[in-house]
This record gives sequence, structure tokens and C-alpha cells, in this order.
Amino acid sequence: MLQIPLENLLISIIFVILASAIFGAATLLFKKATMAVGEIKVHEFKKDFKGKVSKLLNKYMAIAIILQLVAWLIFLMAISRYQVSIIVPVLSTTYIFTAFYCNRFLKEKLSWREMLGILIIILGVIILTYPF
Amino acid sequence: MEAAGLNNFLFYDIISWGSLLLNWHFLLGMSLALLGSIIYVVALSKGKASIINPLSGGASYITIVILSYILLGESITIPKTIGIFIIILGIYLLSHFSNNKPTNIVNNTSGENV
Repeated sequence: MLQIPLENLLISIIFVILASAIFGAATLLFKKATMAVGEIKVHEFKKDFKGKVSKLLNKYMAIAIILQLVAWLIFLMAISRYQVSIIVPVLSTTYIFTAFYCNRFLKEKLSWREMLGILIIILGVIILTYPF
Repeated sequence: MEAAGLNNFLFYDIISWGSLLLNWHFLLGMSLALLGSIIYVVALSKGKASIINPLSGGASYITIVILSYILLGESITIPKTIGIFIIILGIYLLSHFSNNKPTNIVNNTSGENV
């Protein structure tokens, strides 16, 4: 068992929440990229594979892939500093960031059920990471 | 892995990033993540996203806790367990995809419900 100092917990939680925010932004951009094609269906891709893929690989997709790589590296910095079994479930704040971005930029409405879900995820993260 | 080496893993440390890319653990982990996301997309095409999303999230967190107990010697505590189950509940409430129409339909010619 490694002796990990407690101040590493705070640093790694900051890192993992930053990574979640970037993952959420990347998800939003992936969504924007797929909007150029519409609904992705296998039989349409079989008919015109090159055309569909070249439509899918637009500037949003490029930015999203770069953001996802950056988020992975920040996530690695987080799990190198503290217990994996605590840090990985904190990654579920990605869902909150995704809901926030989609509400903000794609005009998707948040219902009371989703608000409750966000509050419950925050409660779970607090219980999980409370160090004493 | 030694405890002193953990703190030396920094953004500006090019040597540690380089050694990470040559590390077979890292490459295997990334390819497993890619495989997992492909299987996740296949699962999404077969069922309701509001069930699959919390299930996959919850299953991955439970797997992480069990594997880190076996392989890394981390402890399974009561707050960890309770927190993970509360997070799974929250993800379930947040998954709304089955209720709403998706917004990505640009050329909806068939008009079928998936």
C-alpha cells in the first residue's frame, strides 16, 4: 500500500474535474460533427462510405479529437497522484458538464428530473471524496 | 512504481510523457479504451440509451474498484461504495435520451422512430 499524502487528493480532483469539463466540450463538438451527416446509419455508410466519412471528418471533429487527447493526458496526471478507485468515479461529472453545454449551446432543455440527477451526482462525488 | 515517482509526473516533464508513450501498459490501456467505446456504440444501437448509459458507467466504476483492490491494493470502503451507487442513480436520472427526440436529424426522410 502506497502512502499517498492527502494534499494530492485536492490536486487530482481539480485535474479530474478539468478533464471532465474538456471531455464534455469534446462530446459537444462530436455532436456538432455528426450534425453534418445527420443520423448515422450503417446501410447508408455501406452505400457511400468515402463521402459520408469525409463529411464526418470536419473541423469540429478535429478540434474534438485534440480536446479528447488533452483531457486524457490531464486525467492521467490526476490518476498518477491518487487512488484510481476514487478518481475514476469523479469522472462522472462529465455528464453534468455535457448537460450544461448542451443546454447552453444546443438549446436542449433540462427537465426537473435531470436537475435532480445533477444534484445526486454532486452528492455522490462529495460522499466519495470526503477524506475523513 | 515508487511513491516518490508519482509526484514527478508533471506537464512540463517531457521525459515522463515520452516514457509514457513507450510504456506497453499505456498502449494496452488505450487500445482497451478504444475497444470499449466501439462495443458501447454497438450497444447503443441496440437498446435504450437511458438504460445503457448508467449501466456502462456504473459497471465501469464497479470494475475499477474491484480491479484496483486486486491489482493495486487500494481499499474498498463504505463511503466509496455508497458514493458510487448514488452516482449511478444520478446518471440514471440524467439520462433523458429515450424521452426526447434527438436534435441531429437534418435530413429526416424516413421519419421512423428508432
